[in-house]
Amino acid sequence: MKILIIEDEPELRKSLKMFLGQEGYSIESASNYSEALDKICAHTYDCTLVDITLPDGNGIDLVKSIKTKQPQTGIIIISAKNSLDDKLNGLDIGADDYLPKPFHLAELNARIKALIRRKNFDGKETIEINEVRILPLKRLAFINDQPLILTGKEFDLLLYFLANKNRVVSKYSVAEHLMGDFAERLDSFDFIYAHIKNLRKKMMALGATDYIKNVYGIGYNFNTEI
Amino acid sequence: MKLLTKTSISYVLVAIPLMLLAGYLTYYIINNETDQNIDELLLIRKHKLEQYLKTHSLDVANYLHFDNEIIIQPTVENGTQALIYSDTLVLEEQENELEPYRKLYTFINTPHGSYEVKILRSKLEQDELLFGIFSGLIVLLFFLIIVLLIINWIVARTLWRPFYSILNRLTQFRIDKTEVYPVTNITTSEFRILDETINKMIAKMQSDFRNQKEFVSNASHELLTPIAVMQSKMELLIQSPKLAEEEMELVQALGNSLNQMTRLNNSLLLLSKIENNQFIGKEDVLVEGLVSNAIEQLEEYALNKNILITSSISSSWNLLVNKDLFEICIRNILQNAIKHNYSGGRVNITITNNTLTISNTSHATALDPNLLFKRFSSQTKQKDSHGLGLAIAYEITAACHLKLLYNYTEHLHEFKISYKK
Repeated sequence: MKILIIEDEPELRKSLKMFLGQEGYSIESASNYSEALDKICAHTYDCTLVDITLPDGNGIDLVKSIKTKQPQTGIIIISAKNSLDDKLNGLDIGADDYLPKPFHLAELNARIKALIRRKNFDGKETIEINEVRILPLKRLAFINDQPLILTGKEFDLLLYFLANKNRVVSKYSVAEHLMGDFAERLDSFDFIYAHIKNLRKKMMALGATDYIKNVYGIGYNFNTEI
Repeated sequence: MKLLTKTSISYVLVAIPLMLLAGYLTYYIINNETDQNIDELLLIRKHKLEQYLKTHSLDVANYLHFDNEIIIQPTVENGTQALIYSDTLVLEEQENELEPYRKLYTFINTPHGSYEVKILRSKLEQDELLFGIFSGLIVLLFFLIIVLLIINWIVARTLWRPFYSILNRLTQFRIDKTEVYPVTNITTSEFRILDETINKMIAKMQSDFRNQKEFVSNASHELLTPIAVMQSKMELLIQSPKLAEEEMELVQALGNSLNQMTRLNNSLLLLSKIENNQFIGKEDVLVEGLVSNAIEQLEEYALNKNILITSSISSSWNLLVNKDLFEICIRNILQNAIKHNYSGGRVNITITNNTLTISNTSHATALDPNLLFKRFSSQTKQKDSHGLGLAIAYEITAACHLKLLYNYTEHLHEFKISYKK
């Protein structure tokens, strides 16, 4: 899996490379428009992350170029312009997803995985980790081939954990993943714990290992390496 | 009171005493003048009578003056030559009425003897004359004042016209709406200076306002990148397996503050976007649809705080607004209602065909509605509350041509959205 990161802020570029590198992707990066254009022309990527505001050009134009040169490449716009105009505009010209800055790396990771799934497996992909098996597009989950009956939010939660397995995901990123903008302005994230408790209970009832670990006040870790 | 009314009233207030004084003076002068005339006439008569009495007898004299206007009585006393003028009333026998007369009382000494003489002259004519002059004068004065008032009114209207046009434009002035303030053709220098000064002030105000808006917008926009960097580093940091519990605590505190900062910055960005009218595009929105979605999203959050959300929809409300904006508005009010509640409390939502009411229980008593919708004026001192949620909701209702009202009744804080009348 090859991913191109087009981002002009060096520290953010570094973070993205590091985080996504740990996922086993091969990562290339570009810090400006012309560099990005060169790379797009020379190589093919499974996924590109495009920042809209670049020092020497507009990311929207880059999206158009990628779309014509490599139509099978997944495109996610990551933009500081937290504006709906950009969102509509970006998706209209063919970007697959839009993630406004500041975003959680775990969220970006989940989105990249979902995008690659959509592009490559045509919805037939299954995610299997030990006794847990998930059909993401059909929204079905099994434990030891027994159906695991989950609510919508619990399923989203499980999928999110699997995408970020063996990583610590912060409670804020979980809340935002489940509730979107509704997670803003909340004074407590205790309700997430209730969701997680239910998910764990249901999974363990079917004989699954207790994968979800609470990481001291920060978040959770779906740990498959125990 | 209008300026023109005020000047007219002061004119009248000055004119009435002036008119009274002028009337009195005129009366006094004319009366004096006519009295003097009569007195001279009386004196001439007296001289004539004196001549007459020197050559004729008293009887003949009396006969000649049968009209009672001269009364001569012989007297033994040798009177002085003094002339005493006075006003008196005489009974007119034919009409049986008292009438005003002028009287000269004097003595005439002749070689035949001394006489006490009263010479009278009716003042009836004089009074009539006086009345005529006086009333004519009053009518004239009255007309003069009326004409003056009308002239003043017309002149003032023309003179003050630029003032009123300046005033009119000032009252309609909206800092974010009014375009360029055009200069009118003003010939009065004071008004021209006023107009120019106001134009300058407005231009300054508008540029300050724009700068301030741009500053907030730019600042919050520029902050996004460092926040994004911090957030990404924070996520990388928490992956480290080497963190001890003490360090975890620090990371957690940092994470909480970062989260608050992100939210605050997002709110500021949102506010400046609303102010800059960047939410374009309206659609037909079913209010209960947005509300039930918001309830669904916040249900668990409320449940966790042991708060019951109930809703009653008496009829559906369709609104033509920007959907994203209105969604944020509902979300903020609902979040607010859950956040500032107590365990076991409740949130009631009522929808009619033109109102949306969200009310909640709270430990707080009635809040000051003047501060409630102001930015950064959180009245409840709750942690994680930067006092922008309701300010945003308020700005949104204003941008959607709706109004948001706060009410406190029966221990319920009530927020009501309805059409702006």
